[in-house]
Amino acid sequence: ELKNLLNKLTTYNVLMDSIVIFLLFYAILILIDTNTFYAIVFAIIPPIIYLILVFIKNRKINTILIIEQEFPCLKEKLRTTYDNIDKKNIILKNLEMQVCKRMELIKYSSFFNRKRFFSRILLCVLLALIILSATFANFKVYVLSDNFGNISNTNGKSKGDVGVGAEIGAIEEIENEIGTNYDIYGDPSVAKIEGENIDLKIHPGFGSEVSVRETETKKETFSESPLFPVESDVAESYQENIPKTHKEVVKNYFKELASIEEG
Amino acid sequence: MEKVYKDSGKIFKSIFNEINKVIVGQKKIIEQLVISLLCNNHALLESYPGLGKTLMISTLARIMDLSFSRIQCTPDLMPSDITGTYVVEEHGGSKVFRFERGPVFANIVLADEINRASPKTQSALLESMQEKQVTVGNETYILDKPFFVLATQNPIEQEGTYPLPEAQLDRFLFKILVDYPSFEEEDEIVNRYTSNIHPTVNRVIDKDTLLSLQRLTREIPIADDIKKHAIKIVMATRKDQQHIEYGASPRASIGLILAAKAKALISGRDYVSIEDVHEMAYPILRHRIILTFESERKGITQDMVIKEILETVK
Repeated sequence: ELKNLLNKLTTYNVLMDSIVIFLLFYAILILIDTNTFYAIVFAIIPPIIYLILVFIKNRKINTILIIEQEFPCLKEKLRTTYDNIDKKNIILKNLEMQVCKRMELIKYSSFFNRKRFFSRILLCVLLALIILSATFANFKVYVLSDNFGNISNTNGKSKGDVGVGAEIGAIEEIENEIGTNYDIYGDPSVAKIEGENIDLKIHPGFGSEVSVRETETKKETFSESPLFPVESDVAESYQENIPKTHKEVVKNYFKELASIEEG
Repeated sequence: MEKVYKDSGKIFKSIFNEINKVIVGQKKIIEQLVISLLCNNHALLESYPGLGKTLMISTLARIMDLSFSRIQCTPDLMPSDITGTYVVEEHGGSKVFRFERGPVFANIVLADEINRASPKTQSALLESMQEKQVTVGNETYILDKPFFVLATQNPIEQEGTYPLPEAQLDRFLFKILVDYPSFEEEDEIVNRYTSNIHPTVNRVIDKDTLLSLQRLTREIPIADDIKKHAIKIVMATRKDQQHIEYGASPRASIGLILAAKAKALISGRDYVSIEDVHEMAYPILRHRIILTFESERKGITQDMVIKEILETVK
């Protein structure tokens, strides 16, 4: 019975330790801004190693010795009785009676290490808090490195993981891709007729006083006003004072226009 | 046997109290002699003259109601002086051979200064120790139980002696070293043996009780890890190339565990403790390991090497 109880307690302690180790490594990996998936994968490895080592170690552990250490009055008596359980003689009978009497006084709770139990619980809570703060409050501890821009590798792929370093890194990457000399407003518009480009370029904002490209405010140039006050004159009716020699030219011009419209 | 088991504590206490009436101090020596008896085995005692070896063992024989004989080994001692021989007797005009039993036909035999006897004589005694029987001519005579031989050696006066070979030394369970008594003990010895009052001892147990105690000794349980620890200690004597030329045989492993069980019974415990094994390691192993020449030259003793092994083996 005691052996079964001790095995259960050992299993429980090992599981608790494994959880603590997992949380510890996960917290460390999260704090240095590792990807969540990779953090989980790498954090699982130490507990697995720990479980294997504990399994190998526990194969050599003698439960009887643990009980004897806990209860010195049973030292050497318990293991002698246990090892000779299949033999019968008056001496063994007497020894068994003595051991059974002493074991009746043993409380199972004495094998439960309360200190260890509460310390593990506390550690789990503490680590969970650290992980939560790292995840939601975006609290990070960065490892100092020469390649500062290369620490994270987001490329805008993960959500909620963008920090200052990520932005700079993203911008640098984009600039490297497309070159540094380019117009952010895009290429000038090109007209196409039947798939062929017409050699006609109209820049966006052409004809308007305000151009998109003109991001800087133009400096207003002001002409100097005359020294004397402005005087108003009576407006003359407007007469087109075209010289006589030019009249023929103007006449021909309009005739050409009219003929083009008819044609 | 149940009664003997329940009274075992009282029995041992009585034995030691009775011996203490005659023998001053030497508690460890007496305990080891009793352990040898419980293990149904023999002991080799190495001590200087005049330390009460004969008195000790004869007192033990009287307490346990066992027959006792003493053999003073000399170079001219013959095997028949130990085992016995045929003598011619006349009965009704005819002469017949009658076997006259030798001193070996006792429950407790003290072979004093065994290293002075010739190898042939030594082997006669050693054979009876091993086989618990004596063969003379065509007849085999079974020795009475219990049968215990306490052989002694003098560490000085080694000239002209025949040291027991290692193979024969292995037949002894213990090699017990007897040292000089302390000042207080010697004072008490002088007081007791220079007065007109001679201490006497009473019989405490009989032969059957001793045989029951011997059976009980073998029934004392031992834990597996303690048993393995004892075996590791013995095996370590074979691996220590630095100090040990030849290590102990499996007979040492048997002896060590048996002696530890007897120690547990004398101590009133129902189980063998690791301290029993460590305490018994010294008398069990010291005559079974042969040191290298370099270690002997440096003055390293067997006990030092055993101590080092006990500290090393986990």
